[in-house]
Amino acid sequence: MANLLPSVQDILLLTPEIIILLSGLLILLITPFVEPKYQRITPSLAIAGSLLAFIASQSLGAGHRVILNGMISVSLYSAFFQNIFLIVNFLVVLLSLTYLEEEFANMGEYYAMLMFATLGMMLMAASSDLLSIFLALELMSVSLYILAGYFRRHSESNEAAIKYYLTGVLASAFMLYGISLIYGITGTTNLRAVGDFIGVSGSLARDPALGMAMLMLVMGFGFKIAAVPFHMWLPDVYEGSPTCVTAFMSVGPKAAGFAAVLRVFYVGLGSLRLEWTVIFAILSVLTMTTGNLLALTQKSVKRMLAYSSIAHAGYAILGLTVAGTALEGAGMSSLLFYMFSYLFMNVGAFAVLILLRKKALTSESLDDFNGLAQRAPFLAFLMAILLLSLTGLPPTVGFVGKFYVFGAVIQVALTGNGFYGLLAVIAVVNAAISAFYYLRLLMNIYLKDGAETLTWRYSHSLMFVIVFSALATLYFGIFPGSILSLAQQSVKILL
Amino acid sequence: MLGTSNVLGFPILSTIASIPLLGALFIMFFIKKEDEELIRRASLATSILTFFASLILVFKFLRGTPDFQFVEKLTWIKSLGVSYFVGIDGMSLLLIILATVITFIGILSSWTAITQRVKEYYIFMLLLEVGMLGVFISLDVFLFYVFWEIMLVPMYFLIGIWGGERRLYAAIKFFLYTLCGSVLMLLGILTIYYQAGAQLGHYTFNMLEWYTVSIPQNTQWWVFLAFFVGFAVKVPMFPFHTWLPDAHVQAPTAGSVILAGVLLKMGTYGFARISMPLLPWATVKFVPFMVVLAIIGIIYGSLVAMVQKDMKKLVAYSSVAHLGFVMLGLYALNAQGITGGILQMINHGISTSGLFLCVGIIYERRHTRMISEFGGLSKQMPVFAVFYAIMTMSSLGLPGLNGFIGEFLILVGAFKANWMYAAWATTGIILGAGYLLWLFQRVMFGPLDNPKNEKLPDLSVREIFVMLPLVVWAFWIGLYPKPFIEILEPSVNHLVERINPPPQNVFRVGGVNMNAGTVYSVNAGSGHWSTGHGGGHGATSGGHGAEAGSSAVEHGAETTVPHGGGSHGGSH
Repeated sequence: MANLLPSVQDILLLTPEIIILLSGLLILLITPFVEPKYQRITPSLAIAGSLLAFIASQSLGAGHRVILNGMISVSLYSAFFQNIFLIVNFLVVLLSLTYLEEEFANMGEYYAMLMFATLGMMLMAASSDLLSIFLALELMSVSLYILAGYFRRHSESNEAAIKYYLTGVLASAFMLYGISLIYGITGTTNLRAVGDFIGVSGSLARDPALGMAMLMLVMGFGFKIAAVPFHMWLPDVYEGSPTCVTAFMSVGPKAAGFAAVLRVFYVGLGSLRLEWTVIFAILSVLTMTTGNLLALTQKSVKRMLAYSSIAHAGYAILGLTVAGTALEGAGMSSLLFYMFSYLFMNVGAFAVLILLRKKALTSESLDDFNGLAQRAPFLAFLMAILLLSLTGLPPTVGFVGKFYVFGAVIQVALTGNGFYGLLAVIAVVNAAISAFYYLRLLMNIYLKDGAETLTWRYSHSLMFVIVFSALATLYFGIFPGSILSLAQQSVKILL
Repeated sequence: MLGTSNVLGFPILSTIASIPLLGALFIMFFIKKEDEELIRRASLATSILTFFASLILVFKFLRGTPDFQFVEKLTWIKSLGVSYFVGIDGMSLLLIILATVITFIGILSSWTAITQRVKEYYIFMLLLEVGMLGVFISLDVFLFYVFWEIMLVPMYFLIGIWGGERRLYAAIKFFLYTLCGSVLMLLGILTIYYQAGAQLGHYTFNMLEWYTVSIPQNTQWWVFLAFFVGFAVKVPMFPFHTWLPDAHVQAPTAGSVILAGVLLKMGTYGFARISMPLLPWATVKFVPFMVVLAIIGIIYGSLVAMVQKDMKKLVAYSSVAHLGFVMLGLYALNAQGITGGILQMINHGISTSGLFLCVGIIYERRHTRMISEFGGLSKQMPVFAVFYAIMTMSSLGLPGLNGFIGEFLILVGAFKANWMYAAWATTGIILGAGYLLWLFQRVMFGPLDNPKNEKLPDLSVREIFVMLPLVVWAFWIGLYPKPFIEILEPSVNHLVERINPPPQNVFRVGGVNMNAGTVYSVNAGSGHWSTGHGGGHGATSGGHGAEAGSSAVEHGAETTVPHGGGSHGGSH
């Protein structure tokens, strides 16, 4: 039955992935032959690749096609996430340019790895089979392990890579075990088939082996999206990695993780939604609260952003919690929109960190930002927009993201389940807690006076990223309509 | 459903709200930060222009109707049912005028007081005005919330940059308190959004459509609490008031003036505009709770004010007491009480702003606000003494001045609701007279024995112009309050009718999908609602009602689709 060779049309649907793959390979190929004075040719290739892939992804259309023997499903859903990854890739390449040049580490491998990680994430969002999800996840993870340790002469970077690698492998093992259990029970790894199989035989949903498999998958993905209590690796890895890699890791792999989690749990394990709803509800409360409380105590801005990214994952998991119960897929589309909103504000904030950094090492403390508004009013203003968006205040996209997630929870709460009302209250209280540490940074920037302790590494590309992120944060905060309806349509294929 | 109209055929409200925004942008991009004088002039001109533009509303406003006027409606986020929908009734009209006047006064009063980071200061002042006006004109709850939150940011900076010694603490306390309240309010808003969406058949944030929906009692209970926290923090009501003294004491004079004059009214406005009409059952249910908190606020605020050593802190605590009066008036739930409550919002804006200005005038000269440092100032500053005396009298409710009218109406309303309420509240008036007169006596009378006070200059012409509008307004309301009450009357009556007759009648009807718009018009028309519907029948008629209601809504919202069914309002 299965076609051994994919048809040309199927291959054409994978154009964005193929472009990314080819540009990554091309970068690897030419790197040894590029003279140092032309070293910017590799990042240019990376940028060209991601832009081309972005354009190609827009032209795929709204159809839903399952190709490669059910391994890959190309749809609005995968396109939504792929656009996030391509934008992140584009912005991070721009971020990395001067940063790496100053560290004398501007080498082609970096960009190739970035491209491969992006390829992994794109495939992960498009995979509709547990095996292809796992393969894509490994492609992404292995590339990221290398990127995390990219500053190989810095001990922090090495520590980050080792930590990330060890926990990542552990997570993969859990996940693989879960997948093998599911295969053993259902005889297939295709998510739709798994879902149908469990759905048809009603008694199977109570099978302890299946419950075990679900827990394994929760743990495996929990590591990837850094849900508490699987978050221990994150702060050190984020702090130790090169800041441009941190910016990449804080958005891309998380969004990819969520893309896969939604598919695996909603489509594959849809019959177990009562069980996983409870699990994700607990995880989201733990993740939000722990992330926010720990971020409160941080002195280093980078570490604070790391913990805050845990908290943001918590809000996204909230969307996951109500994915199975909210009407018209509101839970899922709120998750999609949240990842989109998180993209700009977070990459922008890390870009500011790259622009202003201490000479010695990578730990800018809150006090280093004192009086920034006096010295660099425009940059301070942009940072203020990004911080307000991270806080979730209007008129920024962060507000709309939180608004939509909370709305989905309230919608479920109104069906008579007070438990969700409590969840919503915990979530908004968390949002208020998070305001404290974002505002504290804003306070250092605007309200305190201080001398210059940071080195500027101004470059046009870096400034472009910051301005672009801040503008996008504002634009999509004021006009979120198009992305909202896109998110709503994207999740329709899962319903 | 309430009607909507725009006699001008011109987006006047958006124009008014965008003048300060344009002014702020102009200053931001076209004036160098060294040109401080130019910045001051430009922002003053902007605030004057805004004020005159808002006067157009007064002249063109149609009295005698609770309908919303000068409406503009544009679709904003279609998939969520959010629209840019603005319009005003009598209550918002008065508050808009208050906001434009107070901002003008705030900007004029900062002329010599603010010498650092002048450009940012005036930009934040103007942005704050945009937020305030936005809150008062919004008829879309999403839009309302957006403006509500936006306002926090400039105020945070005003306190945090130009405040006193503990400004950072005060600024962050102000921000977090208000944010905690408003995020809970957001949950309440979302709850009603989904409830209303289910009943109306389409999801919308249109406040006027929400007014036509009956929220189930259980939900009302929770949503009331959510709104209560959001608004009570802002008012501030008794247990949530602790941010206020810090914020006031640390804020620069103009910050305190705007905070007391307008920002606190956001909370009471929220109760009157959102909480009361949307949750009539819970409003009645919570009256004892609200009234007790209001009375505690009055008495506690007055007693704490009495023992303050710092003039500004004293005035700040007097705000707690005065806002207690406003809340008491609103929750008397009768026409007198609510009229008095709303009028007292304006009065408090006038007199407390005036008092803060007086404190600021002294502070600018002596750089201290300790009462013990002063005495006998009336000899040195006779003109100041006159203005200060008028503001004191206005604040303590002397007949002939504005405070009296508001407090009188509130007490009448409270008495009608329950004589005990009025009795307790009256003690607050006595205490108020006590602390205000005692303060005046200690600062202005007695021997001028502190040598530092001997050379204090009297008010400058600019300072007189700062105080003058408030004095005029205080006398106007005090002597001839009729125009103000006339403006408020229809909106107040409409609100009272919405809450009374007791909404139990509405809920007793077995229909699940009741359309309160229909119910309301029946209530208003014949005074009672026949309770003869059975469950199934009720449900059917409910569905029909919803359809008719929504078509009426479309009619009101400038669409030209001719649709069958009842169309209230929509007088385009």
